[in-house]
Order: sequence, then C-alpha cells, then structure tokens
Amino acid sequence: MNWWRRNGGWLAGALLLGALAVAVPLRSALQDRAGWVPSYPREAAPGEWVEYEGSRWRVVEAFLAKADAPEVLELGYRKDAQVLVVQFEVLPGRDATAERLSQCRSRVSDREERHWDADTGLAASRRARRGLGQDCGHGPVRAGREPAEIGRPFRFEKIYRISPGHELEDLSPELRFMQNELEPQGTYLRFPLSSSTD
Amino acid sequence: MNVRRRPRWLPHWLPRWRDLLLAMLALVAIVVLRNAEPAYNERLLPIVLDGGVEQRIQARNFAVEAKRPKLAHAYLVDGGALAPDPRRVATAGIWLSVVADVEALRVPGLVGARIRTRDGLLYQGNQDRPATAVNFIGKTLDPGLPVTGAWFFELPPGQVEGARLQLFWGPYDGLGGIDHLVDIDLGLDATRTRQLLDEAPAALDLRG
Repeated sequence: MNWWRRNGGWLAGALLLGALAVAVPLRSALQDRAGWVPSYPREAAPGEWVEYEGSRWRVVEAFLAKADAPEVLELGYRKDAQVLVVQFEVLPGRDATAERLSQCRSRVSDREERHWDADTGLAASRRARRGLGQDCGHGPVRAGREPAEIGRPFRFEKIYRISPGHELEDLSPELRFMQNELEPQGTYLRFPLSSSTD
Repeated sequence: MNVRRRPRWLPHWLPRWRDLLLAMLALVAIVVLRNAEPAYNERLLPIVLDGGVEQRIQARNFAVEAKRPKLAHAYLVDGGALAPDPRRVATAGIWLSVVADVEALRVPGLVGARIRTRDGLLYQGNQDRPATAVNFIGKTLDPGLPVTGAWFFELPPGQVEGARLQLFWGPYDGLGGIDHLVDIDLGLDATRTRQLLDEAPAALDLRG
C-alpha cells in the first residue's frame, strides 16, 4: 500500500506517456490516411440539402434497375448486374466554379461497406444522351457542356453498376472531392437512400 | 526494512545484488528482443496464403478459384477491325495460361498475377499479349460481380515444372506490402509437365 502511495505519481506519469506514445502517431497516421481515403462521412437526410465545400447538395431521385430493364439495357452492362441511377442537384455557393465542381467524384456503398465507383465510361455517356450529364459542374457534351452557375440549381446524374440483390435502402451514394478546400481533408457526403426518394 | 538488512561495511553508493541482477536481466532482454526484431523489409513482406487449383481461396479483398493450367506454343486472337484475319501471338518460350474465377470482396480494383518458378524467378503477366477479352491483367473487378478470365505467361519451357501462380491485390506486386499474397500450387510435377508439354497445341484459338 505504502509502495503504491510512494510511486503513484511515477506510475501515472508513465501510463500517460505510454498512452500519448500510441495516441499521437495514431492521430497523425489517421490524418495522413484521410488525405487519400474518404474517412469522415457527412450524412444527408433523404431529400434534404446538405452543405459541403461551400455549395449545397441533395439527391433528387434514385432508382434501381436490373441490367435487363429497358432503360438500362442499352447501357450494355453484364446481365447479372444491377444498375443504380441517382440524380443529384447542387446549388453552387458564392465561391464555387464549374471547374471546381467538375472535380467531384462519386461511389456508392452498401451496408457491408462494399463500394462501387460511378461509371464514367461509355455506358454513362450513352445515358447522357437523354439529358443529364455525369459531370458535377458541366452539362453533357451533346448540350454544349454548359457550366453550372452560382446560385442556380444544377442537376447531374451518376450511374453505378453494382452486384445483384440490393434494395434502395441498402445503398448510400457518396460525393467527394479528392482535395478539400473548406472541410477537413477526408470529409465526404453520404446520401442514405430510402424507397420514398424515387 | 530493506535498509536495515544492508551490511554496514558496504558503501552506500554501491547498488544491491538484487538491483544489479535486475539490470543485467533487462540488458539481456534488450539484446534478445533487438536481435529478434524483424528488419524493415521483413515487416513489409506479404502474408502468404497457400492453396491449390480448383480450390476457393479468400484473401483480404478478393477470392479466387484457379483451374488447371494449360500450355500452348502460340495463340490465335482477333486481328481487329482493320485486319479480319486472325493474328498469331507467338513466344520464344511457351505460353502458360490459368483460367480462374475471381471476385472482388470490398472495393473495386485489380488483381495482379505472376509466376514463381521453382528456382525463385518471377514472370509477370502481360496485359497486351495476348490481347483478348478474357485476359485478367488490367481488368477492374467490382464486389459481388465475379469474373471468369485467364492469366497468360511466357515461360522458358524448362521453367514450367514446379511453377506456382502468385496473385495479389492491385497492379504492382510487393510494392504495397503487408497484404495477402495468394500462392497457388499449379500441380506441375515432372510427369504432369511432360504430359502438358507433349500435348501443347501449336496454336490455341482464343477468338471469341
């Protein structure tokens, strides 16, 4: 008992130093990682606007289709895949530019934290012929790549080819910038879908 | 209490035997632990998962089931839009191909492949040769959407025996470090290799 009383200060100090020796490098490693892995989600309520990188964003509409559904058959994906199409809207903020908005990237995650990247290839450009483009800051090439303007809502679409057997509620499309200017590095937007979204 | 047990003739600055012993033990422990510490490149070595053909092996981010390997002296592939005739893809050695089912488990990405011969040489799979839709190299896989394809390797005929297929997540072998390396025994013992070399077709048709 006496021993503990005499050495209590040393022990507490040693424990504190030990904890710091783990916590400080861990913190800096997590910060480094956030530079290239999306780490901090900002969740948006279904249908609501959410602020991110100086602009406001929301999901307007989302639908899920089997690859053999007529509206996606022409995309030419493999037969056992499902296709998720999400329409987003961005309200560019005061300092936003179309070039900056165009740098946004998207992927979709499910409840098991599996990810699929948004298609940026041929299939996406085929679908773009029907109006909306896949670029967060410019309209489709066919419509002259019209840039998004400050204060005016701008709509774009993302297409994801995913594995079969998903419901809309399982899925959360995500938007992010590779380099954040206003938010802490690694912050990204997450839009949990609900079946009432479409 | 301890102080009273200390002989009076002992100078007060000399440590006690027990303390000396503890210090020596600590020194020995430091030396032993330092020697047992893995070197920097040993710490980055991949974690090897052994397996065989026709067996599903699950690594950190992909699962694979490889079929039995085949040998061929050349491949016939489509010549492309401008050349309707089939193109012959030859090699100075022999082509070894492995058909497999591969599935990404968590995130989209590539599975890289190489052959490790029995004397430790590595042969990288090539994306452009033979240029065919089934070639896995450079093909992005998505979770839950398994793909059947093949890897192709050019080997000296003498290196076929005992060759093993090594698979890893991402396009670069070993650079990422600290990840699974799937190491598949292709069953290429002396008898099987001789049989495969004898049966190897002059040109295997890969046209779809």
